[in-house]
Amino acid sequence: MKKKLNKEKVIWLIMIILCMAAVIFPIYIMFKYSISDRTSWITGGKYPIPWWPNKPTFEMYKYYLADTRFWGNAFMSLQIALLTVAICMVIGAPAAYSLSRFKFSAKGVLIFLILSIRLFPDISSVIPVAYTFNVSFLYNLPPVVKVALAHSVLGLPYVVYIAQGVFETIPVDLEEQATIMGASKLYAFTRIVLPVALPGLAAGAIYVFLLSWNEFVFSYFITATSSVSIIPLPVYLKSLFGAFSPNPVSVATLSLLVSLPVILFTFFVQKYMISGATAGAVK
Amino acid sequence: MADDIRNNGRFYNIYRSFKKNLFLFWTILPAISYIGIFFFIIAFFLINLSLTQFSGGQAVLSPTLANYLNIINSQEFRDAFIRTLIFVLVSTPLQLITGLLFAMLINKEFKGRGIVRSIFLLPMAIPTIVTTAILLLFFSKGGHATSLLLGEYAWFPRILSREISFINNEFTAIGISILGKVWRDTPISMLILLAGLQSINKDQYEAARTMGSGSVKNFFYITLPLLVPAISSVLVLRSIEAWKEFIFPYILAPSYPILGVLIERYYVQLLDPGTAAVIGIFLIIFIIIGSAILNWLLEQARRYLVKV
Amino acid sequence: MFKKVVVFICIISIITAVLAGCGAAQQPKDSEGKEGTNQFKGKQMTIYIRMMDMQDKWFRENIIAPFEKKYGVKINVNTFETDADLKNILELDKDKKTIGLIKTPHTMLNPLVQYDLIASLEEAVGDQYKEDIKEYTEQALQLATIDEKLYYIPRKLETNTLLYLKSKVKDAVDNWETMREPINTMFKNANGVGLPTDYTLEADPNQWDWIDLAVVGYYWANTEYDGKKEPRIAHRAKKYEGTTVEMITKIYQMGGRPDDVVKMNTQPVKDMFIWENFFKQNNLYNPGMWEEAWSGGGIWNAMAAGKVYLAFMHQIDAFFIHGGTNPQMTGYLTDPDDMGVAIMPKGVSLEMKDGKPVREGEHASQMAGWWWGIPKSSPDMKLSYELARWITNKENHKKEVETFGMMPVRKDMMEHVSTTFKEPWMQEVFEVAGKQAEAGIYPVPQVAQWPEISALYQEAWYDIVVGENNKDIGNVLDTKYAPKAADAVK
Repeated sequence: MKKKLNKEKVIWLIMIILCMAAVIFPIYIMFKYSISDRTSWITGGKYPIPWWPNKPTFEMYKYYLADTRFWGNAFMSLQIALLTVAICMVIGAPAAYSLSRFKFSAKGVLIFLILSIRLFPDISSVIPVAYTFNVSFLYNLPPVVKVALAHSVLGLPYVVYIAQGVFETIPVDLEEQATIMGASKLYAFTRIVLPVALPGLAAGAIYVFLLSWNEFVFSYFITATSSVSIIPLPVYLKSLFGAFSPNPVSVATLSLLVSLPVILFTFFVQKYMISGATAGAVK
Repeated sequence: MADDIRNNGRFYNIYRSFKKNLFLFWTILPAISYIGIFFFIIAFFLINLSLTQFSGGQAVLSPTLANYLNIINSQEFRDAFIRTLIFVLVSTPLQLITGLLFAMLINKEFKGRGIVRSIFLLPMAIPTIVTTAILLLFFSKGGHATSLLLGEYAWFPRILSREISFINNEFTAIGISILGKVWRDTPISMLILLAGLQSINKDQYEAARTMGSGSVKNFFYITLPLLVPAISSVLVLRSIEAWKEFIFPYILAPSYPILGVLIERYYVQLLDPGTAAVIGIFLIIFIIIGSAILNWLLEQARRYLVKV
Repeated sequence: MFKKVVVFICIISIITAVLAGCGAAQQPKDSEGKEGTNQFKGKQMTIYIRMMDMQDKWFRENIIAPFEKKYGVKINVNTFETDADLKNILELDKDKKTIGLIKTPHTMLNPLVQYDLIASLEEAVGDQYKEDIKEYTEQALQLATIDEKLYYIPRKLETNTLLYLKSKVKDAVDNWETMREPINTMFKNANGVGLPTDYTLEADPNQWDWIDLAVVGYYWANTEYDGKKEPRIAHRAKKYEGTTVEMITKIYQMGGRPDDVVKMNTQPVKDMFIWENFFKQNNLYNPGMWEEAWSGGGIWNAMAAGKVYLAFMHQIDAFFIHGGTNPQMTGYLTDPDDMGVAIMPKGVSLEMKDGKPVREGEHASQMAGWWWGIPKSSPDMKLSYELARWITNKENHKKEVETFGMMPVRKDMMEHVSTTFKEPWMQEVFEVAGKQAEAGIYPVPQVAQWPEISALYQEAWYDIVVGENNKDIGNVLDTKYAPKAADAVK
């Protein structure tokens, strides 16, 4: 019995190490390229590219971190992501609450409508959405707001979906007691339900944040045509990679710099992401 | 509830339900109208464009069904459809398997669980565009992958005699796109499945163990049936995303477009939004049909499991 | 704990939302109102550029910032994406009047003037320009002159030249004779004759023609270097303008001119496609070209990986491949001193008679470049002019040329290459550029439908050369592509 258990444990340990390796490997490759010196990628075909740089160097980091455009673009991405989170939460959470609490006939249709916008392929829906923002009266909005509004279209269904699940896990008793004691629905929602639901909602917020920070298609179509000098990071990356195919060290360094904040962010918030999945996704 | 109705008058009842609905109305309205407006703008645009014929970027004829007919008869479209189907059929189950593996590995109390969990979540934090860039570096000619297969590293045997181009070969190009997609999206499947696993009562395993059942049996007779809802979620959500996939094949398999990439090609490169819209509409139809079939299959599976 | 996190996120979100809103609201205020006391003091304008990332950064820091300091003005530098965007950008600005200068590629010089968006220099600054423009080379001024009026201030010229690895060329020159037999067979299969009578491979690539190129290509493709055999010649083949330019240079080398390019089925065009097909079929072009859709950057990386020994490159490419003073320009060669440049090879027909090619062309290439245009809606044309002149004054132009390898537009620099530049490799790049200009450089056809024609060439190349629609190349061009090209320019 004991021996068998140990064997299982060993298999588990091996598997977990293998899986971690699979996850980390591409990130390692990115890191390796980013600290490569000349001889580690200009091989002239004489030897294969080494798995660890011959002489690791952080030169490229120095270069990009001193670049004001990088910071400007990063700040714009951050603004967009936070604004998207704000819009999605302010609009989405109350709707999710109502959808989870009230039994009314049109509920199914409403949920379907909210979720069905995710059926459109991004690349199809981006055209009308970008057109709306770039041609209608919305044209004069600052780019940050435009992109955030577009990202909200993508993020809102997720928030409603996750938040609805979160609210459903909260017992109705509390609110009922409050209403019986004369509190309004609004009061019950803001003072009683919301505080309990916050960790679950945080998960929704985190998803939307990641979605917005990583989103490329909508950001690209909205900002690329309006000729602004500051653009969201993914668009900046694409413009660098696409137009002039820079050397691998620049590609890897920029990639890592863009990913790093989000990687750290995920490390801190992973607990909430799991609570959100527990509440929202399985029903 | 019954007491309430008896105690209060009819008028008060209506007033109450109105008040109740007013809150409902004000909370749901912003979300519904926001999504609704964009839903109709997108749908209107797509249908309108799909009925317009374009030539050299200029609309020349509307309304017409020419775009639909062209697409139905186009070999390019059929090829793209088959590729998309393969993409969906391979990447969705693969994401389920990797997600399940990851979820089961960390559904255990152990030291450093938080760190392992964070590491498993990492791919989600890497922007897609970065993932594609790294894969491209790794798999392009003269990169690690070809050097490895050519046996240039001493510790690895020579497998190829001539260097191949991964992105210019249908099999490998779609293959690395799927690889990228699965790598990137496994954490999402993992989270959903982990949630499912955590809701399974530990007592059931205890009971099974006292009856002498091994862990493999446990997995097939307890875990899997109880995970069906989570697995369904994963399959439905991930398959929809797979149908819609764009960025991985766009960068990694440019010569072998799937439907999402074909839309971009017609819209941006060939300046033909009409045909692009038609492909988009077909894609939505495929998604709906695909999800319906999947739901039916899952329903059958569920019934079968209940019987067992 | 989580409450704090959520509250924190909410607060940050709201603050950013407010900031974003206010930021946008405040911006216009800055641009209004400030009327300086000095000539330009306190003025503000926007300029549009498109440059490689590192050049963009350098340009802002080393050219624009000092200008702002010296004149007490504020210059916003924006980037445009595609050439076609320029027109939209200028038209949207007609009422706002913020754009003072616009970096214009050679393809847009005519269209922008035709759309009435660019002011002539006379309109901008009166007669003052007439003395100033004497500083610029004639070639640079030639394209900027439309209907005998000068509209643009030159920024840079560029022309494709041959770029190769000296050591590998030497190897081929020394040893190609060992392969004379198979090379002769290769030619014989294509033209029924073989190599020209008394054929020899010149040691100096400046004297090569296309036959020499094929001989060198064959030698490299069939010689093992570092344990690998693969074709070592490449040109751009991504579906973009750069690829069309590769084909155009070859048409010009065959004696064709812009008219031939537009017609798409005259003899020089046919000869070009016949040779392209020959190079591909005989495995002289590195397949990465089309398999991985190499752009210029793709070829640099291929040179770094030791896959390509010879390509057709602009001066700026040569700088990037060699490596320079900018920290990001690390170069792409294991040994930068091994890089050699030469003028383009001479075009000759594959068809032969009496032991020599039936048709002979010249060592021609294409002329491209960038100019500065002053929009009619410029907030201050004098300031625009002053800035364009500042960018190309002797000191700044030299700095930029030395860093990024632009072919100079100033006479004083082109006429004294060896005294202007210290580094021998730099002298070589510009000397060869000068020689290439003497050998003949011609612009792309100045037609409004150029983008369509350009796309047609890429389509034809992939169809005929890669897709092997090569049974009767002349016929394919006559029946398939020439009519399409004629349609496009109608």
